[in-house]
Amino acid sequence: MPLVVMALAVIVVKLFAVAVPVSSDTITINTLLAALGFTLLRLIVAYLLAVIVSIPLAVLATVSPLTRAIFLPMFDIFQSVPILAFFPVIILAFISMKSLMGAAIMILFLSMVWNIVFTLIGGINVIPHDIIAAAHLFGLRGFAYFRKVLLPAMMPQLITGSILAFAQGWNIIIVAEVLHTYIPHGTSAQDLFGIGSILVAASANGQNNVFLWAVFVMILAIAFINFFVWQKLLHYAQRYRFE
Amino acid sequence: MPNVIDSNNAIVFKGVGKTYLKESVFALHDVSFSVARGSFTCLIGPSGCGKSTILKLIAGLEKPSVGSVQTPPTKNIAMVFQSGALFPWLTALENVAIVLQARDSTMTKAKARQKAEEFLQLVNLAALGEKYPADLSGGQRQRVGIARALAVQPEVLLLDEPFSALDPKTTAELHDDLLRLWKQTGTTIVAVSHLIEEAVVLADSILLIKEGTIAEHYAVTIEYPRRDRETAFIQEVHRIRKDFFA
Repeated sequence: MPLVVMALAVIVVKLFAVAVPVSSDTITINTLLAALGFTLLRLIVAYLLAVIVSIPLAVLATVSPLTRAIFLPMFDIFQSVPILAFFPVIILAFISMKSLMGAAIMILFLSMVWNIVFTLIGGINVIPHDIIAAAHLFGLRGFAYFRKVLLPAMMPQLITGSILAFAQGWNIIIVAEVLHTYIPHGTSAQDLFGIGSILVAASANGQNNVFLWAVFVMILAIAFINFFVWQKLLHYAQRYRFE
Repeated sequence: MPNVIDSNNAIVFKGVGKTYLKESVFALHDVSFSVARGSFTCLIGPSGCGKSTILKLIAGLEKPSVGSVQTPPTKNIAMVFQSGALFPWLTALENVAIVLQARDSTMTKAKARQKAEEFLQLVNLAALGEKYPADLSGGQRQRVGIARALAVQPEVLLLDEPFSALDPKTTAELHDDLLRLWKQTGTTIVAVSHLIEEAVVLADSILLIKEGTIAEHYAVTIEYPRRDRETAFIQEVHRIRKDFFA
């Protein structure tokens, strides 16, 4: 599964691979907005990958008592390993593929995926027995059960997990964009252009103005996404809740 | 599980036992009975006596540990659940239409919706087809559940205490609706109830389940509609009540 994710990440990276070194003298509000755009793009791609991977993993872990016994402890171990422990390995792997953007997306993906997996597992576990029995009895089985019962039933937890995952992504964004600290003899030229790397560069160069503007833009973006995306989705997901 | 049964009976249980290994408990033991085609049978008994387990065995949701259960194929069985078990993200109409398409993959969406409308009409809910379950009352939700079950035109309709959470007025209305639909369709109905009065109002055959087995079988011959103030009704209830609490 990680190989599939890495391959997907590489394909996406090829589509929008822009790694502009942060030059602290040329930062304007337009630069900040462009950086925010790149950061968001990375977060969104990592999030979408995390959703695509989480759904089958959650279903797999709950499909039978046997898979539950095998996968739940395994997932618990994976999610307990600190994300930064993977970082040097991932960086080296992606450097060999000449894709630092891939490394950033992979790091963001790993920081997000377990939040979604575990909330989805919780969601599947609270599907009432009567609903499962009704679906079975009325012929909703196999893929039809997955598409028409399981996926909608997971919707509220998918939204909750997504909020947690995105928050985790914002937490790790600096680490994901300021890559040179993990590369032997790395320089800031190897950092990825984004709001996280601008924050670090501004801080290192003592540009408090830029730093504060970057923080402000980031907070504004987080608030905007929360209000116009997550709150709307949370409201929409109420319809999918079991009483 | 053999599904070949004689022409008179829709369901036959022979020496059925059910043990849940996890709890090491006998849910059922030595259960034998048959349900005549077109009859209305009610399973009554105290909580935990095994009524719902019998229903699950008929529905094919559980397998017997011993003995044999002969029923029509699962595709000819439908069930109305205590909780309603409606999909909250679908409208009343979609809740009925989805099972029509699931049971018949060749049915178009338009045809399924049209048929679903007909069955919602049958339970007097045609005007509420576009409402979501959360916007319906408990009685309306159960009506959708009945419409959904009848829409697949089952040979056997199972009812798992569908009226237990409803107020007396709504329950009485649904009893009347159910008896009307039973007469119209001739479907074999097996219902679970913990209320003797409800069983006597509805059923022409009552099985008293105690401690995981059939304790008594009653044939109820009172004319429909049955009113709880009539002498025959009261006598029948008293007769069963005596055994129920013995």
